[in-house]
Amino acid sequence: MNAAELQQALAGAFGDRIVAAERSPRRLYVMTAPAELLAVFDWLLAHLPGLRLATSTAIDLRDGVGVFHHFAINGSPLLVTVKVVAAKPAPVVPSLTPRIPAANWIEREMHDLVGVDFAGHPDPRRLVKAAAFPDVFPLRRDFDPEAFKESIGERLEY
Amino acid sequence: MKKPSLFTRALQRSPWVFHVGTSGCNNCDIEIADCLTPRFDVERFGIRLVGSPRHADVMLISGPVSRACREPLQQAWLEMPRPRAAVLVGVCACSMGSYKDAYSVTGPPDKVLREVDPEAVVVYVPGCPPKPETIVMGVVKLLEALA
Amino acid sequence: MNDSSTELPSAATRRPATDEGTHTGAAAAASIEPKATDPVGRSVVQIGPFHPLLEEPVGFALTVEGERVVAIDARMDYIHKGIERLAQQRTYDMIPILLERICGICSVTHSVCFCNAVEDLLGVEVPPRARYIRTIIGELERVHSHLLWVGLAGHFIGYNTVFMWAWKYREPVCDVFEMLTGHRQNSALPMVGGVRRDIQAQHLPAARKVLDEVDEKVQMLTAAVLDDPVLAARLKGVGVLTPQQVVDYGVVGPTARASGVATDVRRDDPYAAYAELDWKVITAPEGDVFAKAVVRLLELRESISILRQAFDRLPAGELNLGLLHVPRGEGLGRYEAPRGEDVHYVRSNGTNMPERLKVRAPSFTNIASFQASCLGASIADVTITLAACDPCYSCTERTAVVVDGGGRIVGTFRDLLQQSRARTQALAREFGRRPDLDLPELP
Repeated sequence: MNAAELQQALAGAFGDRIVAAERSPRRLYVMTAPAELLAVFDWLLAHLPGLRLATSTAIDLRDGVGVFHHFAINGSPLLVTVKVVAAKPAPVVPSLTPRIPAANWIEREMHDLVGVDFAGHPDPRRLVKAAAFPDVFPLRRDFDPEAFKESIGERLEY
Repeated sequence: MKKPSLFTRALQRSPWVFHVGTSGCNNCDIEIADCLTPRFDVERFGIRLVGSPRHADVMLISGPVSRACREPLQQAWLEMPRPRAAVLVGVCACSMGSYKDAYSVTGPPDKVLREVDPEAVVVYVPGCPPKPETIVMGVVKLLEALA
Repeated sequence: MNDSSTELPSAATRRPATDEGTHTGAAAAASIEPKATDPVGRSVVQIGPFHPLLEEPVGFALTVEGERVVAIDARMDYIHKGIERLAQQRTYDMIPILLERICGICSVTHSVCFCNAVEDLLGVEVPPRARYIRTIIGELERVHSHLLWVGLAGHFIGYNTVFMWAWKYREPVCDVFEMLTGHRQNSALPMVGGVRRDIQAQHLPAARKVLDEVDEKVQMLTAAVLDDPVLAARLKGVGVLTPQQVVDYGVVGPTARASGVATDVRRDDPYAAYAELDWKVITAPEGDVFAKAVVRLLELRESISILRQAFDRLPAGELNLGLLHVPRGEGLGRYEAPRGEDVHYVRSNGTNMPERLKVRAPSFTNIASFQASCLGASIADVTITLAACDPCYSCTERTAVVVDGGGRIVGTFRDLLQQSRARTQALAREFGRRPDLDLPELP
């Protein structure tokens, strides 16, 4: 199945609950509401044999925090990205981890770096942030590394 | 009685080295391990990699020291009996390299060591990564300088 | 201070770290809290943060009952460097050079994967000569990376000849890389739109000669591995991942292919020159550590075959597209690293720096599969099972620690290594053989 075909199938299943854009035969991007994420995932898992979660990107957008799940299919060139945007200041997105173990660590990392909560994550501990690192999110737009280091009393002198 | 210099001890017992990789890309660490392999074979100079800082004369440090590595590094340094010296391998250890602006690192290692030991003896071996021959040269220069 | 070691905080004063940020150096050792649900009597073994053979600071927490692993956790903060943020403050031209330094062995991987992502955004294909050069440096990287792994695997089970031998034959491959690109690992060749510099035809005969010798040696090594009853007894049935677990955890690379799952970016989503060359995806059905070793050994020879073809068919022509601008948009690039699929997502706002770069190296997903492969493993098998997915700790974040339910350290990585080697020696005695491979004398 290529991107255009998948786009059609998804439109048939979800109508206007999704907005899909085919960038190339191998790349499809699907935007949906956080509340629809699990339904879309379940559909993809049921209809695309060999589907796996390749990775996910969290991104601080102006109007919220985006969580983009990038799915690959073994044996196929297609990557389908499912995007949701959760509103700040306390963005929450349903966790995929109960559905698929591959989501576990990447959701923890996204929480550490961008500060989005994954509702239903069975183990929401820090993954990549040191215990001593304050509760700030380094990939947020308003994070300033210089100011941050000053604030914890670290200054580099060469 | 004056304590024997590191060089003197090395003559008696060969420098034993403890390697610490602190959140670098591991390229320097692989080149350090390369020193043990047949082409470079530093063991013929008596240089030995040991499993604990308590047995080491020289600490090889790579990487820009992530925040989580900072105190373990200091702890490992303090466990080394004197006389002791550090060889900073690679440009990240020498002066942060690509990670100068990174939020998660807190090096360079010489600054981190000198927080707990202001008189720490430090040798710099820049490179990205430095070749094994260069790393060996750094250790040899250290020994000569302390003779 | 006098000459004796400075006193360390005693065990009584060491407090475990908590997320509130109280953190003493010694607490680094105990900072994976045993979960409240752990039954009394379970103990956890410490691996890390520093141990002697080149490994990065890593923390795995293994909870053991007797000799068996019942839970495994990892602490990934020791090596987090904040590369993505750095990349977002660099231009598209500088980023490949930064990304070469995510990982010592996966330099071509990350720099070309990034280029693939931006070129996906742009919808362009780089010139043929550039595609072949990317293939050549990529496969050279795969060869020396797999040799490195073979050596490490030998080290972990106590086959020290294998370690010395594999790393000995890795050196000339690094020499070839240096001869062709100017550097043993970080070539700075890949750039968005192609490659920066050319490789010289006059070097190719010497490169071929090295590959011929390495090919012959790898053949020898592979035959010795397949013939050794001790290795079979030691590694077969160990660290098994089922095909379903491979998909559930998103496992990639040789680790997945050794469970019969034929996933390989070079075939599935081709880039560089792979679609034009004649090569096979190597798989094995058993899913155990032995299969993972064999897949890598066979891939080594397949890589050498790809290199020979690439040298033969290297086309003349431009080195890059001369791109000057990346418009608004997003792109996804993939690359088959020695460890598996690397994925880069890039988002552009039309300026000369990306708005977002997401890097997911293969080890990030593969390491997490320890949850499946290490559960039920014996302590003696844990190190080789951990090593079998070829975890590139720099690509990910790594740490390893084992602590008992009461916070006491009951073992170190060295203890685990020792147990691993002891198991090999016991098996060797059973078979009446030396616990190592018989390979030609090292000069």
